[in-house]
Amino acid sequence: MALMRCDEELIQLYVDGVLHPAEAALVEAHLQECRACRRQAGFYKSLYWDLGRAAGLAPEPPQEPEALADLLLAEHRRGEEPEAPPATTWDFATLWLRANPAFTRPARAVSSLGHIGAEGLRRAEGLREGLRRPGKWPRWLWRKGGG
Amino acid sequence: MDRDASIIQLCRQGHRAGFARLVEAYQERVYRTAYTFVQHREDAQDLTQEVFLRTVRAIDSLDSSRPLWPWLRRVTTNLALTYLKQRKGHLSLDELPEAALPTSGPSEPSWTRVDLQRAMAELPPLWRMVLTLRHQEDLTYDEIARLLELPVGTVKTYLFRARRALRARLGSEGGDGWR
Repeated sequence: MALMRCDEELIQLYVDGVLHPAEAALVEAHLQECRACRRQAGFYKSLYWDLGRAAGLAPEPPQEPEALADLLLAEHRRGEEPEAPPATTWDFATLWLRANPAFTRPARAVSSLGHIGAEGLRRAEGLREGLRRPGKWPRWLWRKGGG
Repeated sequence: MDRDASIIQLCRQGHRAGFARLVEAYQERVYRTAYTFVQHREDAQDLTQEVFLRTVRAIDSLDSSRPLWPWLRRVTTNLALTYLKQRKGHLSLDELPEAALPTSGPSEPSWTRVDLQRAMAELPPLWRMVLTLRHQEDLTYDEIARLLELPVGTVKTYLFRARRALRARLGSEGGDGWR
């Protein structure tokens, strides 16, 4: 009397050794009676064996080990470098550039910056002139500071 | 101190020998695993490099009392999964393409390395991954499920389908035995 019907998944699991002993006993009893399932079990046994060695089918790593080790060392050193401290000292030119974002976009044509951009350029020229001659502030800065 | 603990220690101290030993010990294994997953040489190389870079970045947080390979395998698997999901124009990760179906029924098991390699390459990536993790890495079904973040039932289904597909493919091709 057949204890179970042909079941390929059970055969796979049996050969994989993951069935509960009671289930495994059922499969073993079935295998004694069923030639087709015995052939399947034989196939899977061979397949699992070969799959276990299939890593050797992959090609050799193409990258030179020395180059990879150097890359890793560089990455490690990069990670150990302290981060650059934020700038704490500001000069007038830096403050002005931060306050005029339009001027910090050199890729844009000056003509496209509009009134604010043109004004920024004019002020920059004045600021440069003022810095070139210490003690003499540009007129626009003096006006603003002086109210 | 075992090999992996020594490698981790040397790497933490920034000794080049540590990184050289790390690469020597695991580059081939990581690359072959990545290649098995993605089936592409250059991409497997990129993945391998990224696996090691991430390992170096995490070197201070690694437990030196535990083996390195499970960590490397997890990073390799996660990166391969991300890569496979992002790959443009790729077929479904878990369905067998029509072209990979065998044209005739199975016969006696007899195949060559090339047959097996080709049949593996034709499997949907997720099937190939669970198959590799089970039969090459010897992980349990539960471990595979945790690693791939899949239900155990799905892992069993993929394994069953992958093995059946290989039986259909290899059984139908014949050959002159394992070489």
